Amino acid sequence: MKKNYESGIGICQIPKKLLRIMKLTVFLLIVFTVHVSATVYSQNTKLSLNLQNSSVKYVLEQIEAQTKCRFIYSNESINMDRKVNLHVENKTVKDILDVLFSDAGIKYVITNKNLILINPLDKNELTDFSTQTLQQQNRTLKGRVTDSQGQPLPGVTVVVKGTTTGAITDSEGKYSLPQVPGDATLLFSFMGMRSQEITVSGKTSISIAMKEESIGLEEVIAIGYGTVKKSDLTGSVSSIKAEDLQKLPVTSFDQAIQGRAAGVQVTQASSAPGGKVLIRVRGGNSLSSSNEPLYVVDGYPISAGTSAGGSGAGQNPLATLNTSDISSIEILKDASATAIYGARGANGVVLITTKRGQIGKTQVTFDGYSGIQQIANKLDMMNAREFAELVNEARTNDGLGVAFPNSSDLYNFPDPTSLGEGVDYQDEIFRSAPIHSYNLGISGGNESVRYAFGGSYFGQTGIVEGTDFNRASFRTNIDSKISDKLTVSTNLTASHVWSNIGFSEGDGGNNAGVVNSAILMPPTVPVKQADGSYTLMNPTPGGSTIQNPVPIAKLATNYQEIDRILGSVFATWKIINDLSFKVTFGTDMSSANRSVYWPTETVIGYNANGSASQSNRKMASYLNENILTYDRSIGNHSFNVTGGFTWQTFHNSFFSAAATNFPTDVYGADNMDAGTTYSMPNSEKEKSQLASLLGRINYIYKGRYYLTLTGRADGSSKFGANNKWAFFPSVATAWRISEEDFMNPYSVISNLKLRASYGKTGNQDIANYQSLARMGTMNYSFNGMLNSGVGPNNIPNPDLKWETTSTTDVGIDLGAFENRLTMVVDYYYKKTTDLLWNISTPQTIGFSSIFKNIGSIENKGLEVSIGGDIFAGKFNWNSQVNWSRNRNKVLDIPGYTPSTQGSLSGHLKVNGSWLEPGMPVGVWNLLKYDGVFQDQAQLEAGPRSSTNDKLGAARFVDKNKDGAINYTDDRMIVGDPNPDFIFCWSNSFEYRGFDLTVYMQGSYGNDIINVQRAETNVSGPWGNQRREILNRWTATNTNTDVSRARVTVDPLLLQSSWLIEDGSYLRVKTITLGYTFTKLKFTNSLRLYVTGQNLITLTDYTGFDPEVNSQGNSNLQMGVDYNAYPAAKALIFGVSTSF
Amino acid sequence: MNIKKQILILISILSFISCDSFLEEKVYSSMTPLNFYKTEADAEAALNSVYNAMLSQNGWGRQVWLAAELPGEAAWPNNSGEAWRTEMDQYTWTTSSTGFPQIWGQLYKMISRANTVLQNIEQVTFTTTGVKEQIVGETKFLRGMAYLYLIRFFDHIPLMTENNMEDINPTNVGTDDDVWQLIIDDFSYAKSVLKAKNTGDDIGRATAGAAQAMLAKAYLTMGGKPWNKTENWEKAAKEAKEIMTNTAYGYNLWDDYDKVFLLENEHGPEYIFSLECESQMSCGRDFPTFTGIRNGDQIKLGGWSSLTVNENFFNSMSETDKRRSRTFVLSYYGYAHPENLYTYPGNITIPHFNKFIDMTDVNATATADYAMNIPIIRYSDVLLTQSEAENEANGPSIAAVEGINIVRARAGLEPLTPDDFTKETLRDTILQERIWEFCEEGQAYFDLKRMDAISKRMTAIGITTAEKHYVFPIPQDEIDVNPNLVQNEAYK
Repeated sequence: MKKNYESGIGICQIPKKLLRIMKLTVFLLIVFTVHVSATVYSQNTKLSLNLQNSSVKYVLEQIEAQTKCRFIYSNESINMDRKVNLHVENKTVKDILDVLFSDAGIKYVITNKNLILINPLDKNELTDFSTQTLQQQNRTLKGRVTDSQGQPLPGVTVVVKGTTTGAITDSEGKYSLPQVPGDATLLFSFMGMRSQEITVSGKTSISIAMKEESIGLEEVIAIGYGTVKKSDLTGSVSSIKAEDLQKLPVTSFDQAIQGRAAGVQVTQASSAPGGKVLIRVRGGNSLSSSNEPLYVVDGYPISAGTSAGGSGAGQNPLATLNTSDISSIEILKDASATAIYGARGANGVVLITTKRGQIGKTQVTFDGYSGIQQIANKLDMMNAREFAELVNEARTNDGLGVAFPNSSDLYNFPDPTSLGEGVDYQDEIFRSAPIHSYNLGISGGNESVRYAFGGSYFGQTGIVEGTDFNRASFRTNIDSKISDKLTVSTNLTASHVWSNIGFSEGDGGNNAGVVNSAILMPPTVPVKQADGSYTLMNPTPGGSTIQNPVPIAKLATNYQEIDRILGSVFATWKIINDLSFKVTFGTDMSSANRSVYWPTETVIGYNANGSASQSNRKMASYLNENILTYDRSIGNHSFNVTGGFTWQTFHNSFFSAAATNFPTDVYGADNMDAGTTYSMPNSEKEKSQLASLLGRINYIYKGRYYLTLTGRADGSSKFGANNKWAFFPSVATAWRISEEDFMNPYSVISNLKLRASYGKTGNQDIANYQSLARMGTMNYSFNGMLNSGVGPNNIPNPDLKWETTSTTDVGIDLGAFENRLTMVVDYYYKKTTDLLWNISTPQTIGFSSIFKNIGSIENKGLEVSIGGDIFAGKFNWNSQVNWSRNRNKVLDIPGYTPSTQGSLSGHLKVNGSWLEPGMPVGVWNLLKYDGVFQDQAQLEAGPRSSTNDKLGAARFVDKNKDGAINYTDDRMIVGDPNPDFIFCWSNSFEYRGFDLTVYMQGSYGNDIINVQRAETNVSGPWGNQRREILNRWTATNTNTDVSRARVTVDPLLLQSSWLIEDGSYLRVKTITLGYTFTKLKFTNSLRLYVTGQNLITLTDYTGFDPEVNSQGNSNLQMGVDYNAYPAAKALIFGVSTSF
Repeated sequence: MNIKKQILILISILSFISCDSFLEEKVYSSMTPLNFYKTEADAEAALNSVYNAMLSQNGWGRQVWLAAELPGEAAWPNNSGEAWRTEMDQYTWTTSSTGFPQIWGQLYKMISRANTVLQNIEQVTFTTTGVKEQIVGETKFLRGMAYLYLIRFFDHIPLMTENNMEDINPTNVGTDDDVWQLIIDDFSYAKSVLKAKNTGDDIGRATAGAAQAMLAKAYLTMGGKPWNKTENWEKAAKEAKEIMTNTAYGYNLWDDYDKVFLLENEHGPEYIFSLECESQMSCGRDFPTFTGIRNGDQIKLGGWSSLTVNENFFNSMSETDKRRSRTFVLSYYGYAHPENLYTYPGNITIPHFNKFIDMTDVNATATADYAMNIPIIRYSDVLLTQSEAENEANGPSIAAVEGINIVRARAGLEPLTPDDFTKETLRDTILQERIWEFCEEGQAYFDLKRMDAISKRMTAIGITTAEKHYVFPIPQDEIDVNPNLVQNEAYK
């Protein structure tokens, strides 16, 4: 024992009693830095301290702040709150410690890693221990400790449980413990890592890989323009680690955010490869402006990105970034956290930090997976015979002759009795599709240069024929220390995306979405006609003009390529010790090209004799940031002050051209001059600028009382001449109760913090030039020739300005049992004022509306996150639950008459949501469906919607009790797309190298308007019908709520709750089973895993998928399912390894 | 480097950008009034924006045409599309019916664009003489036309001119005389400066003849219900007669009614002024689609059967009337499958209109891209205006049947003899002739209203009407946002 002590790496003097306590309390309370190796540092470095009436703890903190020394001690073993007066000039750490501890009987040891171990010497206990251990059969135990990536972990404390024997791992992660009993248990602990207990079981070598603790209080997380220790946070911030992101087979990182952060609702607008994802942080603040958060990649605020042309729900611009490059994501939710982003902060801010090199041996990592996807849920549609019988029944009901058979066209209209299943158009366009991803990373560095390189390929074939998504990207992050005062760094990522978007989505009408067509095209319609050519359109009389999806999916082209470079270079200049200045120059440049060709086998191509178009969009933004940071601790006060000036410009240009009438289809869109008819070309160019001054003061008193003041002044070119600049302030306070003395008896509570914040943030995300008087192109033709016309397009508004959101947030952070149990609860109230809205004006002035700041809206809600290491040790079980609810309400829009907002389908006449102050955004004000007139008595009782109503006709609730159904008077709120709450539950288990993660998420109480039902559930020949319609009313099947067959669609049916369904669901999003090999010679670690995605979904929803939002970004139209690309279930096999 | 020096450098880096000019918005791909209305070409482009207002689906592109057509007895919407169409057809419209704010808004948009031209034309430098008058003349013609439609639909409307464009809450009380004066002035000015006939690339623009035809229409309207300013009958008759005798205009009827609506004849002697449509330049419309037969293989891109023929109207037209085969679909061979014959009665279930169906109209790339022009006023309208005005002014006479007999002659009908008629019976005969001649052309409501025939003709086909149906309500949306607008009495 004595020998251990002298070697300077033991902690054998810690008494047994203390060790028992240490099992329950945090053992090490100090940040550990792994990359410093100045052996004689603590002997040579001189420092000065002048502290009056300060606690020992505070003195040690000051030494840590000024030196690279780190202390290890236990609160219980020494009185850290003892008050001392200390005045030293130019003394070494050793000298100061001698002064500090000379009277207290406390000894300390300085290790070669500048670790200073402090403990009281209790000779009696030591003696007892020595006697005891000598009586046992002991041997020397060795081993190596690594992190989860297989990198050696120096500084890990290894203690024989129940004894004072211990060691600390060296720079290669190795340790050696003499005289360990064969039945002992080893306790491995390291700050930021989950403690592990391993039984020796007679072994002489024990090597382990330590796992990062899920919620480490000392973990440093990114906030805007800086970083902060998690324990020092005053705002509401959710943090997501790379580990969580990489377990999912996702195209873009925003999909992986889903369920990971309370209060953040992530919806897949389109399940198409590379399809758009919607993120709402604490509900939607805006009606007409964007509700998407601001994304900041390594400090660079990125605009939504590029997508040339446009296609259905659109492509996700964030899919150009590679998820594997990300080391962490922080979601800033309250005003205190987002005010530093001022006019762009109102919808929350997502900070993305990419991986950087660390000092140490070069590390090579490889991750790859491969898998197969299939449609998660096909719709049950009628077969050919059932459909033909329905058509005939509908025609007979309406006094028309039958359509099947049609003696003049038996090919398309055979006798129903001869029909069987017919064509399953879903099978014609859906397929099993592979998905692949490969990532290679190299990182490392030394004192002067650190680097991280990454290269990746991601390829996903879509489950709808004719769709895919491919991405290749590379990233380099380099940090060079030019001198002690100057560091220059670069971030660069470049990606190329190539993707067949296809024509999967879109309205029936004049568009040609294959998903719509595949559901609606009657199974009686042959894919090809007798002459071998593709059937073009649905020939069924009374039917919708459905285009044959097969040639569209197989032959039409809708191809997009995107190139994107996101790069910045920044220099950090340490002006004086506490003051540093950082200058950044960066750019985000992207260009996209989309080419479309409709061959003559498709309806559009047939009509135009081949139709081609090309469109190009180029976007760029340029950024300069100049940030000063001052970081200083004086006595009990510690300050962090940040201030700076930034400017950013945004450029956007677009060009498109189209041609038709091609002699052949072979060119596709690649030789447009071969077309003989040219359409008008189209081009546009825009530019906008943003200039900002920002500042933040973080003040901490005694490590318990926190105050943060933040402000940003933003000037934006987008707003009116009278309102170019706005200021967004915020204030936040926090109290870390667990650090108070009176909490000492409650050692079960390891962390308790109260937070409160208030502030204002803005939303400036509207189109350019909205405040100006703009002239529009208004052409007219004379004598067959086009004449250009130009006229005023809007009413200018020089007062146009930001939407302002005021947010109040109150939160509690709680950690118990050594933070094995953690809980974060936040309540927030947000009020958005100066809402941008097109308010109606008298049309006599030539315009129907003016774009103004008018109206207000509120969101309030509660978020709860609970996490726990339920079992820790050999068998680990970590469980995390997020639950959040948001309540949204329109407060006031002066001068606005409540009305229906737009239309979900022009050709079906399905209305959009209803907007009315006092109600949530997005509710539907429609007739309430009330079954059918089952018998004559009911029909006579009414209420009827038309004098022509017959038995089996749809019945609606007569709200105003006037005996008749009238859409305007009898409609009522029949649905709300806002969920009562959303939740997620993830569980991870580890045992002997195996890991299992089960991740579930869901939504409760939200409604979906299933517009598909307006076509598939109308009991008529409009298009193929769902099998539920087999239960339609007939003279012999009267006890039903499905209306009788009819040729024309009842228009009121489409303006009623018949379309609304409960969208609640619980989904097992992913299940991953992995095994990690640790003892392989050629790698540090090797993990093999298998993941199942979307395997189980519990829902009553009858559409493809309850997780749907066809209308993309519009806050006014939520919960709309209209021909969304169906979700896939996937099974993937992956490997991740490091060398 | 000492700290002072370092901070100095810092401050100079921070201050090298001046913010004021940085935040100005630079416009690239669109115009603002600041850089427009300078040249002759600008003025012409501004004028074209007024024409463009007609093309909108809320203008003559659909709703204006439907608002005037559906209350008539010839057409019905076949239970399709917007509820508003059925309300117009069945006389069940309300102040909140969706079409009213659409046509109101679009017509005022057209007036606003015209006023913008007139307001800015003085700052334009003209290099060619006469161009300014031409532009002002066309602009006033279009403004007059928008007002003529507005006042015929809504009776009491705000007067917006280039002088009061900033007034966002104008009233409609006591404006009637001024509106009528503006209509007469605008058409009179246009008549005095525009060319008798356009040639070359100007074909399709308003002419002096178009202005005079509209002037006659305006006088005719003022003579009838609800204005009853009988002194205008003479004026209407005089203007119409002048058009008939002015050879410079060169108007005439096609000998064969079949030729009137053909794509190739849309700039012939019979169309006086039309909505100009063209394929593949975003200037097309969907009239053929709208009236074409759903799943009928009748036209290239398929029809919707959204405006169809009342069966009793179909039966009302004599089988010997030469207009019958052009007015209604009687038979045709399929477009894609020429081997298939379609007939009504026969394998077509309900009667359809045929005027805007032309199988040679094939360049459309979408259903709303057909090139078929839609006539707003044609020569037979002038002829029937002459007869109607003459009859109203002076009773049945040789002069009073002059116009109508030309129209009847082409239709293969017997000429009328004045002695067989009283003023009232001749009025009814002229109305019936107008319905046969102009069905599907967006005239019906104006004719029924002017001749005080709504209740009579609608009762005959089983539709109940009231006095209020002689005017449309001021759109409720407009009343809601403009405190100075007063609802028409019958709708209060």
